[in-house]
Amino acid sequence: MSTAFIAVLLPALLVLAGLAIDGGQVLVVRRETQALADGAARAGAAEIDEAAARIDPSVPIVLDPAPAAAAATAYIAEVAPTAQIVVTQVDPTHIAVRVTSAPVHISLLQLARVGPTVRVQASGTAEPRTGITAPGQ
Amino acid sequence: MRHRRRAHATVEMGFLALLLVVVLLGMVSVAGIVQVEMGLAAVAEEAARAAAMAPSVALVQERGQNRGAAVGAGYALRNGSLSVTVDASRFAPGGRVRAIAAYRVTSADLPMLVAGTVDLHREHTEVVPRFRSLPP
Repeated sequence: MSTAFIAVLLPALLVLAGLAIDGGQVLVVRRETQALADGAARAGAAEIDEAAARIDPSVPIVLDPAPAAAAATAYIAEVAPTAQIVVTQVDPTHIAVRVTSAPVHISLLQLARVGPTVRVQASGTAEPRTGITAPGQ
Repeated sequence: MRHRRRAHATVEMGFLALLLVVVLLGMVSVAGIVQVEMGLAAVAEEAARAAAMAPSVALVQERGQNRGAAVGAGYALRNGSLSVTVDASRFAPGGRVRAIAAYRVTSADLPMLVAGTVDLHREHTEVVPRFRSLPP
């Protein structure tokens, strides 16, 4: 009876442990990928259209789309070369990116037919703003 | 015969209970370490962001460390081992700042770590805005 109990429970325990270990790892990579996406979007949003701002400083500042997309891509290439970035939308008002992490290796959760690797995606959006003096504004 | 079978079952149940406890303690430990890693990632990102917004290179470390400490407290990284260092060597408009957050997980954080410690670190690089005019 106990042997049968162990035979049933052991795989369940291993999958549960896998959920903690592999799931935890994926959560951490998800957090890092989100930070990368936000950083890339902010890097893109820093590329404002200087010419437009100089012609009429009273109008709200706008993005220069092509340099914005290039800056976001260059940021990921520099800080996380194994990640992939797609600029999903860029116009004078904002930039949106989607970053895909490097493959995350799965160990115990392979018992539940997950893996052997998974990739994590995160999206980030940013827009040019003025008057920012501290994080969170 | 019945006595032997019962003893056999008792030993197996004891083994199973031990295994269950070990797995559960391991899962709690892993969850604790994951929580610290998530906190460190947030500390590094926020510290780098604050450092990138610093009005001058002299204030980069201070701004980054203050922000990192505040975020770390929010993630319960409170055993005193949290350190935040900011690399300001490329601090300039359009440049980069890199923040590294490190933390030593001890038994104060996870009672299951009876004698051992786990050193963790995370880093984040932030672009310094090109157009800024901030008060000192």
